[in-house]
Amino acid sequence: MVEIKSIVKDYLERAKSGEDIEEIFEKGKEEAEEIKERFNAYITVSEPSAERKGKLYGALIAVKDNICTKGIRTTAGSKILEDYVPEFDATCVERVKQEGGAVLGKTAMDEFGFGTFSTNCAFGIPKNPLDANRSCGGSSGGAACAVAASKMPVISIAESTGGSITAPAAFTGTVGLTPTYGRVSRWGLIDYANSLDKIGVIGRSTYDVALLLSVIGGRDPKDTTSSTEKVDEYERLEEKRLKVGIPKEYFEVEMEKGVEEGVWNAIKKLEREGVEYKEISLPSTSLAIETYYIISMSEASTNLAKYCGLRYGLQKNIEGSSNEYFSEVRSLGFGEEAKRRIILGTYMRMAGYRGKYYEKALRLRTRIINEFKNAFENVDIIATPSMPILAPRFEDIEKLAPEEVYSMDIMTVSPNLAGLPTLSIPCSKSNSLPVGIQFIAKHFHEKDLLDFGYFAEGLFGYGG
Amino acid sequence: MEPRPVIGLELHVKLATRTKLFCSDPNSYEESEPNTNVCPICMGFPGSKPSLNKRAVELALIACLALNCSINKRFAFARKVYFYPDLSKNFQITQYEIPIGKDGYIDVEGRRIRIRRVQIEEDPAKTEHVGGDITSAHYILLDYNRAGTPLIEIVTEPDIASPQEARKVINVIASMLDHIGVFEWEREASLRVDANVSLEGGNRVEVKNITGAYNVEKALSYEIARQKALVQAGKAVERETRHFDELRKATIGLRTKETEEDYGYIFEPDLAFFEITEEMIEKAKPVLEEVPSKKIVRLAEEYGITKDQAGMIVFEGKHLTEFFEECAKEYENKDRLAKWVVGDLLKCLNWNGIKINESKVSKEGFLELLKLIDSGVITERAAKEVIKEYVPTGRSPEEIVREKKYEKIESEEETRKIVDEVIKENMKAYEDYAKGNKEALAFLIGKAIEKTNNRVDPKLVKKLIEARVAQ
Amino acid sequence: MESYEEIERVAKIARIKLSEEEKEKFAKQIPSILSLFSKVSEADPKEEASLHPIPISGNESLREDEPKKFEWNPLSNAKEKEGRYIKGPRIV
Repeated sequence: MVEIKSIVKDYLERAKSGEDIEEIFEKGKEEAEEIKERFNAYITVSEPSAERKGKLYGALIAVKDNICTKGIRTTAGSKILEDYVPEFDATCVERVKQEGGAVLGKTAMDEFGFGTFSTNCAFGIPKNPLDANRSCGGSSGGAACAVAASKMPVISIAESTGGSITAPAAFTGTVGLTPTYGRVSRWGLIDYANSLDKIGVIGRSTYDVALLLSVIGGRDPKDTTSSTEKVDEYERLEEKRLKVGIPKEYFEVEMEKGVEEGVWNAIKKLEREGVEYKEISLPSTSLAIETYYIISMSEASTNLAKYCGLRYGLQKNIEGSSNEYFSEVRSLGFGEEAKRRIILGTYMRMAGYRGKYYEKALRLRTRIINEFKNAFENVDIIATPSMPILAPRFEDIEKLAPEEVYSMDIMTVSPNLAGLPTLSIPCSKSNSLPVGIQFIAKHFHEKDLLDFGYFAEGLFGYGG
Repeated sequence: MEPRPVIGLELHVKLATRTKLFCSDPNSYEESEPNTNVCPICMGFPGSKPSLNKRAVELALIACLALNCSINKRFAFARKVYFYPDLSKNFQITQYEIPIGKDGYIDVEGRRIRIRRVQIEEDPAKTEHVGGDITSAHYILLDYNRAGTPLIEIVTEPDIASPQEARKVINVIASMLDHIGVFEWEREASLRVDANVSLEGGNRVEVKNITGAYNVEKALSYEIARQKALVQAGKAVERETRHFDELRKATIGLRTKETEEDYGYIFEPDLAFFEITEEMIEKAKPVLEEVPSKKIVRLAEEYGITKDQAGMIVFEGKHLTEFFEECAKEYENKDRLAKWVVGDLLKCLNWNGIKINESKVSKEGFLELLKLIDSGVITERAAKEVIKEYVPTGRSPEEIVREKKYEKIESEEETRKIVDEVIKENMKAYEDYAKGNKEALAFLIGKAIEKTNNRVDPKLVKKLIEARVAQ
Repeated sequence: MESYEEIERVAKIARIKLSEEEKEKFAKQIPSILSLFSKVSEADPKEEASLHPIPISGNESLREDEPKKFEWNPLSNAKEKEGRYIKGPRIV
């Protein structure tokens, strides 16, 4: 067992014992500017500050750029929001500030979260700190990059709709926590697909992500889908051995050899430490990609309707009819993937097609949820590879057709559709690239998930 | 045979809540500076999320029960997507698959008009066209104070047979919702209506966004005439959406291509399912005692007025009914009170295009006027003149009487002088009457009333003329 | 949405004007994406639709009808305005 040291924990103690906080902020900012320069992790670096002491006093919080920050430009990675400066903080940001956390900057992302590799960015593509020719993963690529490239006490608030936390965590060798749907308030989150969007955390250790979740989680009347379930002090981690299920469909997927070997080795390691595992089945995995993209595109195409050159964001001289004006602004402001998803989403909602696509996908989501429920009657944790591949080269990504990119989300879309909490931690290395393992737990069982992850993390010995 | 018109209505009723449907901004837009009663939710800012107003659900439920609807105990909201500058998110949060109420009805003058559905939805922002109209303006100005106002949309089946009936249906529904506190019926124009109209067997035309029942009648009359003219000319009526121009009293084609299939409804994923509980229904029940049909019976019994009188009072809404009841508490002659309320008071209010609550009419002033008649200070005819001035100004009737010298001429001597003058000026009529022409008598009395500005007592005038002929 | 024209029609409904290049690209890509999705359109799920991954009761979060002002400047991001009004394009 290796004790994974948390730099964040270190700094929190130093700040508590009176170390000059301004110096931490200054160094943090300097480093962030450099990471922005080298890897495009940030769209905006801000001026860190903390007004009071609390659980996060001494920590630097990087915020994904689809989360509103009062007075700090928030673009969601889109040209259509290039100059948008919110007048209010997202609830999670407000809670960070209340606990003495300092916002360090806004991290790069695929436009509105539309991507698996952070290559659909309006303001520079984040590069993997481990190999700048490779992707950080998406859509929270900047969030993972900001953490992976840093030696300062940085934790990222990220967001996942279909796997946007797990993918970048796996590719950068960081820890990614996607909480249960409704665990963290979405007030202030710029919507991609509201019935799927979950604000989560990327950090360098389970401690880091547990700490930040304990601050940002919990009921918020401003998001009526947020849950009243109690939030634990997740950062009080205790090693926990739980019963693991291995879904056979996930291991039948075509995946890179290094990933398969790395994940199996990790499972064997767990077994040697007394963790029982058994094979389980989630038969609808084969429909998950399609179900996910139909629901998310349908919702996304309605969310993006509001961007039309009025009130905020990209605006032009008011000319012509509303049709002409809206079409002009939207065609200029949205990138290619956004346009693709808007058109597909619009089509799949239209009368005559809604029944075929949107409504069926909602029914299939129920089936997928039920399959997980059944599986969890026999196991506590489901383990899968985080991604079927290692961090890919940009030149290889370019060759992929859109549906091939979508298919890369096969490991993550099902738990995201079911709103289950997941934790991705680095479990191995292949050709000096990290391999991530994804643990899935029951709804609102983040405590189990993190305690189990804490145990596994020490066992695998990566990260920190 | 003339083709029969087939009419269905969609009424947009503003719910009488304190806050908007999905945010806590005040639900009042008329007197505020532009864009002051607004927040990121109703202005469609990214990151904002709706949260549903409990009172709006309660009021919608009351409306559904009063309209005899069956209630969907579990309902959700939907996004109706269409691009329109007044729609802050370019989708409207409304109800689609599962509205709160469906399959109701309302009886209007013995005819049953079926209600297809009642849904809760938000109102868009207000627009002003600058430098032209809806199709020719240079640009528009947007005020989001109205955006997010809670509405119920009441959709009738196409059971309405004429523009006149459409107007009646709207007013009956408005009056009912006013009585049960769902809606503040401030003026006829507080309702916005979309009207679907076709000639039996022909294509349906939707006339959008008509303000008030009166304009609905006008819009429908125009539209039916237009469609009949097309049919007579052997042309087809196109299925389309039209706009009603209040000034020209005509409907105009909008050439918008959005059709029902393009709305692309999805569930509103920021809101969950809501349930109507037994508790909520129990809570709504006492309010339903205030529906017009029950109120009419109560008024007739309690105040000994006729059902027709009670019906006319109640039809005008909650405020006039309350006004009548308050007056009745202090005023003995209920018959005179009822006659004056449904008669001249109402006539004057309608003439001025206002409802009683926004007029300057007060219980004190109105009763003062009636008492002037009772005590013989003025004639009933003079009172009809006084009220014309009283309603728009709210000035004391006594003062008006004094200033305009409306006091009844009591003395016989003075009246005789006037009669003499009238006869002198209308000798021919007098002679006709003397020869037995009764109409000439009425003419002479009229002249006396006219000459004195209603101050003479017509009975006395008659007596004096008759006496003179008898001489 | 197999044809060029159909893609254009849907794009128009969504107020997106496609460049020639985009049209060509999408005309190739969109049919193959939809053929991936055909797995769903050909399925016959009997389950009820789920609005959210977790059943959520809306009643618990019904908002009391109490006015509350949101402290902000609603016009700070608006470039096209006139007085306190937001300027917008002619409707039709």
